[in-house]
Amino acid sequence: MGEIAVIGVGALFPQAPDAAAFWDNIVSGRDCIAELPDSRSDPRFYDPSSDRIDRIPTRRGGFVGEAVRFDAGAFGIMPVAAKGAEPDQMLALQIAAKTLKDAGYRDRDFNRERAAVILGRGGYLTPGMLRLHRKVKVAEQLASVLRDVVPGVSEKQIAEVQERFSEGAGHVGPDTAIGLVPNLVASRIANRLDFQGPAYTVDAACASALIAVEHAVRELQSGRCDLVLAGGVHLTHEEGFWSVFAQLGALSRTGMMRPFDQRADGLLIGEGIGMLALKRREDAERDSDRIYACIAGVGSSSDGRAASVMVPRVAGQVLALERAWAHAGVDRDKLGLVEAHGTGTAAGDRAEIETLKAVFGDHGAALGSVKSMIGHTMPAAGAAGLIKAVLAVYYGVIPPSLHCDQPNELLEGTAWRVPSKAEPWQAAERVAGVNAFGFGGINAHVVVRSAAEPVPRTPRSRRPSDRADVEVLILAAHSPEELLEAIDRGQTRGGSGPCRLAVLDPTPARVKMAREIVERWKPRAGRKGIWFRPKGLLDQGKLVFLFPGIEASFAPDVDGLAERFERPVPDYMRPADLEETGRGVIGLGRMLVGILRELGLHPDLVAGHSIGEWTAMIAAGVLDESEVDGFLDSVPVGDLQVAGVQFAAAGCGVAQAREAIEGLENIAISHDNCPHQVLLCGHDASIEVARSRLVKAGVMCQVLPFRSGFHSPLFQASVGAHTSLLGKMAVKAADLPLYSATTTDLFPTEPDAIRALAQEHLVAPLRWRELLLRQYADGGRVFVQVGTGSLPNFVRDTLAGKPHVALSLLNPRQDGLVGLRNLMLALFVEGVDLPLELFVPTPSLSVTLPLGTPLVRVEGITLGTAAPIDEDLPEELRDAMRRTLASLNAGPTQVMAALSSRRTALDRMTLSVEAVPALVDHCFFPQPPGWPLISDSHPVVPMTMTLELLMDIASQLAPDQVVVELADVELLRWLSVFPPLKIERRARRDGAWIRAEVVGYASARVRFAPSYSTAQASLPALVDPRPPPATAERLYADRWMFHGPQYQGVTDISAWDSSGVDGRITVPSGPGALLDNAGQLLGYWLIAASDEDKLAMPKGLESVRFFGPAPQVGAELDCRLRVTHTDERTIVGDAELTRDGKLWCRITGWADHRFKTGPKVWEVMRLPHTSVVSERQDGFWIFDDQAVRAPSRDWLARRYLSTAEREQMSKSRTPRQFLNGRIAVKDATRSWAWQQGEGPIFPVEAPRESTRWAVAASGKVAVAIAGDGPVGIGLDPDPDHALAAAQAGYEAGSGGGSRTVVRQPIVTRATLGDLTVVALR
Amino acid sequence: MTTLEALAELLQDVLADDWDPSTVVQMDTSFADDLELESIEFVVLAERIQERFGADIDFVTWISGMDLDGIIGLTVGEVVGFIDAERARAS
Repeated sequence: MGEIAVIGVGALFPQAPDAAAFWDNIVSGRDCIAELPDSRSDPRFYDPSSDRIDRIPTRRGGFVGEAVRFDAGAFGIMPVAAKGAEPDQMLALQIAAKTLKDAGYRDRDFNRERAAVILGRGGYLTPGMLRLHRKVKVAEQLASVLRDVVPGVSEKQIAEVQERFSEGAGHVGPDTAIGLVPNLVASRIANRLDFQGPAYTVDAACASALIAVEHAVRELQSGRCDLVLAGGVHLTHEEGFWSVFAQLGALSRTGMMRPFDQRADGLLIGEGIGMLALKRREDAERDSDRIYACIAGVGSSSDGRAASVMVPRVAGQVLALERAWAHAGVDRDKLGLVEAHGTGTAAGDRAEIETLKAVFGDHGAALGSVKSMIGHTMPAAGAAGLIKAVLAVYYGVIPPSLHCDQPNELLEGTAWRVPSKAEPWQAAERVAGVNAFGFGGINAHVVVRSAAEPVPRTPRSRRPSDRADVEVLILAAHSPEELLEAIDRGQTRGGSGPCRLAVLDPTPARVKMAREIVERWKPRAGRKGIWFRPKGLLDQGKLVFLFPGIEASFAPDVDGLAERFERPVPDYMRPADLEETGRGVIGLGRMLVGILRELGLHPDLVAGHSIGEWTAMIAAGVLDESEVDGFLDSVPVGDLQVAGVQFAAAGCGVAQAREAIEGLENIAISHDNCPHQVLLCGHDASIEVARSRLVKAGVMCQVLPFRSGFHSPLFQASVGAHTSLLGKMAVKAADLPLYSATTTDLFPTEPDAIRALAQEHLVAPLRWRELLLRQYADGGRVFVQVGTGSLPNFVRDTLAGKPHVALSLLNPRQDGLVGLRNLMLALFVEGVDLPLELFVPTPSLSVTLPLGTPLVRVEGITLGTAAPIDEDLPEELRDAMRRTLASLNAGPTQVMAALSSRRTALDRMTLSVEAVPALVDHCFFPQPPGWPLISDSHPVVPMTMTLELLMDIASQLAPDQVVVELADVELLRWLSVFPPLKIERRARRDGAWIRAEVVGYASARVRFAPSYSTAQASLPALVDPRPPPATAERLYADRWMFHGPQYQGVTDISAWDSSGVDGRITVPSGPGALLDNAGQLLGYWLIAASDEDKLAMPKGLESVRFFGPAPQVGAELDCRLRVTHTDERTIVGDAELTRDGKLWCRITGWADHRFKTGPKVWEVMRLPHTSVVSERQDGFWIFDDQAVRAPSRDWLARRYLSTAEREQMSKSRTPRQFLNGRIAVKDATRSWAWQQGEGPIFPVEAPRESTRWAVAASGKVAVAIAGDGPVGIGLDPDPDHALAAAQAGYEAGSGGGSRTVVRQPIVTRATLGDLTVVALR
Repeated sequence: MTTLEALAELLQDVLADDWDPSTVVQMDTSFADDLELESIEFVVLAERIQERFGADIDFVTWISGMDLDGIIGLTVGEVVGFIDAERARAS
C-alpha cells in the first residue's frame, strides 16, 4: 500500500501535558500512575474488602489532573460555554491545534476542503453529561425520595432542596448545551480549524483510536482527503465505569499494572488524548514536511464466534495482524518493537503472546506496553501506543516497559523480551507494530516504519527555570512584611515597590519555599527558579553588560529569540572551527544587544572577555559593525589557530599559577579570570609539566579543546596580519563607559590610542579578575553576560562576599526565550521595570476546566419533620403535642438558619432599565434621543457596577466591616438588561476571603477589614507629558466614549504620553461610575495611541484595593492611569485614584479586549449618526464585508439594525447578505439625505419613507443606490443578469415610491472584482 | 558519618546562603540538574573534598580526566563511589 506519513503529534496523558513530555516520561521509565484525588473520585466509593457494585477495590489510575487550563480566548469561545462543555471537546481542540502546529500547518496554507478529523471516542459517561444528568434526573429522583421517606415534608421545602442541589451541580443551560453533544469532540475541531472534510468519532472500545487511524488511512489512500487528524479521546473517570471493570475482575487489586509479568492481576484505568497528523507520504515529501515515521500497513478484524464476547480469540487477533502486514511491503524479520495491547490480565497477555508467536514465528523483538506507565486509556489507548511507537522509530530508541520483573512463562525460550530500560535502536530500517484489541473482539494493528536516520534528542529539562510554559508569580511591595502579606493572601501578581519576588511554577510547595526566603530577607538570584531582593541593587548600583569570548562549547539556542524579535538568526551558531566560533560569538552578541535595547535595557558599563571585547566595542559605538565584518573577512583563514600551542584551565589563582610555570619556557599566564581560574597558554610540553605540577598540588587542571595563543607572547608571531588590519580600522570614542580587559581601565578616547590598545589586546594577558574589581569599585553591581559562557562564574568568584548579582542571558541547553524571560525576572527583582507581560502568561480568557464531578453538598437547609401523632389520642392532647413538636423543630431550624446565614448569603434580583434607570447612560449602541425601543440601544451593566453587586452580596457576611480588596475577578459575560435580567447572587466564606458571584456571569474574592489601611500612591509620573489629543469636554461630545451623562465623569485630561494618562474625575451618579471612569481613561489612551483597532471592551481585572470609603457624588479625584501592556488583542493598565493627595483606590491589571476594527468601522461606531462604513463609487454605495472581521460584524449588526431587522436577519437564509444589504441601503439613503442638506441620521432611523432605494448583494459584497426618483441596481458576475436585475428594480419603482416609469434611466456600469454592477437612476 | 552524609555537609558549606533546607541529597542527585551547582562552585567543592578526604584520594586528577559532558552529568553517587573505592584501595 502507499505509505502514510505521520507529520505531527499531540498528546495529553497522565503527567504529560504535551507530546514531548509524554516521550521524555516513556524514555526515562517514569511511572505516572497515582491515587486519584478526591475531586476525581470520592473516597466513599473505595473499599477493597467489599464486593458491592458501588464499591471499587483500588483508587490508583492515570489522571491528567484535577482541572486543566484551556485558553478559551484563543479559540473564540465564551468562557461560560467552555466551562459548561464536556472538557474533552475543549481539550481535544487544544491538542488538535498543537498537533497541527507540530505538523507545521498552523500558519501555512493547505486545502481545508480536504482536511478531516477522525477520533476514537467511547459512549461512556463524561463530566458534562454527568452534570446534566444530575441536574435533570438526580435532582428529581432526590425530591421523590424525600417525599417517600420524610413524612410531612412540604413541597416548598422539597423544592428548595432540589434547587440547591441543582445549583451545586453546576451550570447547564442553552448556552452550554451544544457542548454536551458527544461527536462535537471531532466537529468542534473542524469548526474552529475550518476543516471541511469529514469529522466524526468512532467507537471500537479500546481499539477505537487505531480504527480511527484506519479510517484516516483509507481517506488518504482513496484520495478523498489530503490531511487527517486522527487519534483517540478519553477524558473521564466515572465510578460506574470503574465498577464495570471491577465486576469483570479486570481491575488490578494490587494497584499495579504489569503487562506480561507472571503476577499480572489486571489493569488500571487511565485517561488522555492522543492525536497524529497524517498525509500521504509522497505529499509530505513534496511539501518538505518533517516526517516522524510512516504507517506501512493497517489491519482490523473481529473475533467472530468466540467463547464469550469478553474472551480474546487468538485467531481473530492474528487475522488483524496478517491483514496489516500483507501489503505493508516490509520484511517481518525487520520488526524491532511491538507496542502491545498489554492489559496485564492473565487471559489477555496469554492470548497476545500466542498471537505474536503465530504471526512472527521464531523472530522476536522488544515488547512492552505504555499502559504500564499511564494505565489503560480506553479509546485513546491506541493513540498512546501509536505515538509511542512512532517516536521510538523516529528517535531510534527502544522504550522500556514497567513492572515486568518476572516475565510470563510463555515468553521463555523465545526471542521476545520486555526491556526495563531504554535502549538505543540503531538499525537503518526500524519497524514497529502496534496492537489494540477492544472489548467485544474488535482487533486492530498498525505497522510503523522509519523514514530516515534516527534523530538525536536530549530530554527536556524539568527544572522550572528551563521551561517556557510555566506560570509565574511576580510580586512587588514596599517591604518584606508587605510582601509576606501578599503571599499569604494568595496573590500572584501585582503590587508595587522596591521589594520584589518572582517564582516560576508557583505550586504551593514552591511558594512556601519562596516565603521562607522572603522571611529570612535572603536575596536569591534565580536558583531553583526563585528571585528575590528586599531592595534591588540597581537602586544605587550600576548595570554592567559583559560580552563573552570563545569558550570550549558554543551551541546557543536562539531560534526562538530570532523569531520573536523578527531578526535573522546570526551565522555560525554551530561553528565548525575556531574562526567560525569567533564570528558566531560576535554576531550573537550584536543580535542580543539589539534585542535588549529594543526592550529598553541600556547598560551603565560594558566590557568584553577576549574576543568579546570587540562585541563590546561595537555595542559602545567605538567600532562600526561593518569594520568587524571587514576585519574578520580579511583575516587569512586558519590564522587564529596556532599549532603546537594549547590552553589549560587551572582551578587556582594567579599566584599559584605563577609557581606552576616557574622556570618553564614557552608558557605564560594568558587569562586571569577569577580567584579560582587562570588560563595558561604554551607549547604542549610546557603545558604538560605545569599541569602535572598543579594536579600534584591538588589543583584541578584541564586542557581546553582549541589551539591558539591569544593574550600571550606566543601569539606574537602570528599577529602580523591582524595588527596591520587593526591599525586601519575606523574607530571613535565610546559613547558609554567601556572598559579594557588589558588595562583594566576605561578605553582611551583618542582613535590612535584605541587602535594601539586593540593591537596590544591580542598579545597582552587578559586581566579579567582585576577588571571586575575595577567595575565593582566604579559602582557596578548587576552583571549581565550578554551571550553564553562562564563570565557569571568569574564574577561570582571574584566578587564573593560583596553585594552583587551575576546573570546570563543564555544558558546551555536552554531556549533563548526562556533565558531572556529569566533575565527579565532577575532584572525586575533588581529594580528595573520591564514589559514582563511579553514573557509571562497574561491574564487571558483562560478558564480552568474541572474534570471531576464531586458529590454535591447541600448546605443551609434542614428539613423539619413532623413526627406522626397517634390518632387515638384525645383532640386537645393531639393539639398540644403538635404545638410542642412544632416549637421543638423550630428551635434547631432557627439555630441552623442563624449559623448558616453567617457562612453563606444568597439573593435574587432583577436588573433592568426600569430598576436601574442610570443604565440608560450605559448603552453600547446609543440611538437618537427619544428612540422608543430600548432594545436597540443594548443597555448593559458596566463591569464596575458588577463589582459593586459582588461587593454588596459579600458584605452581607461581614456586616460591620469595609471592603478593602477585590481579587481574582472573573467575568464570564456581559449582563445585558434588556429584556430585564433575573440574576442570582451568592457569597460564601473562603478562609480570610469571601467569594462572591453573580451566578453564571461573574465572580470575585472580596476581603473585608474593620477599617481601611493607608498606602502611598506609587505609579510613576508621566515620562514625557504632552497635551492630550482630546480634552475632557470633547471626550463625550465627540463620542470617544459612548457613555451618557450619569457615567460621564472625566472632567479633565491634563496630560498623556506613551506610558499613560493623567486626569481628573468628578464622581457621577451611575452605579459603579467612578471606577468605570478610570477604565474610560484606559480606553481613551488606546484611541489616542493607536492607529487602528481602537474599539476595546473591559474583560476583567486582577485586583482593586480600597484605602478609604467611597467618595460621594460630585467629589473630585485625580486619576493616574499607566498602561502596562498592549498587544493586538489586549490592553492592560493600572490606575490610582487619589483624593486631596491621599490614595483612595488602586486598580491593577484592568484588561480590555481589543476588537479588530478598521478606521471606517471605528468612525461609524463613534459617530453613527454622521458617518457611513460603505464606500461610494460612481453614484452608488458599496459595502464589502471582507475587510471586517467577525466580532466587528456583530457590532455592525447591532449598530445598524433595529431589533425587528435583527429578527428578520436571524430568520433569513443568507443572514450575511441580509446584513450587508441593509448596511449598504442605510448608508446610501442617509448619504443621499445629507446631500440634500438634512441633519444627522442614525442607521436605525434609515431608510426613510420618502427616499427611494434599490439594493443588490452577491457573496460578500452589497451595493445600493438611493434617490428621490426610481432607481435600480444589479450585481452579478454576468453583466446581462446585472442589467436585468437593475431594470426590474427600476421598473418596480424601487421600495417607497410610485410605480410609473417617468423617463429613460441613466445607466452606470462598474466592475468589482469578478462582479459587474449596473445602476440605473 | 557516611561518605554521602559528609558530601551533603560539604555541599551545604559550599552553597552557604543559597542552600535550600528542603533539599535531600541522595545518590542519584545530580550536581548540575538537581542542585544547580555552578561550575565555579564545583571547583570549590573539589577543594573541600580534597581537604576533607585528604591524602587517600586524588579527586582532582579524576575530575581533570573527565570531559565537560561527564562533569556536567555527575551525580553525588558517582563521587561517593569514587571516594569509597579510593579509600578502600588505600587501606
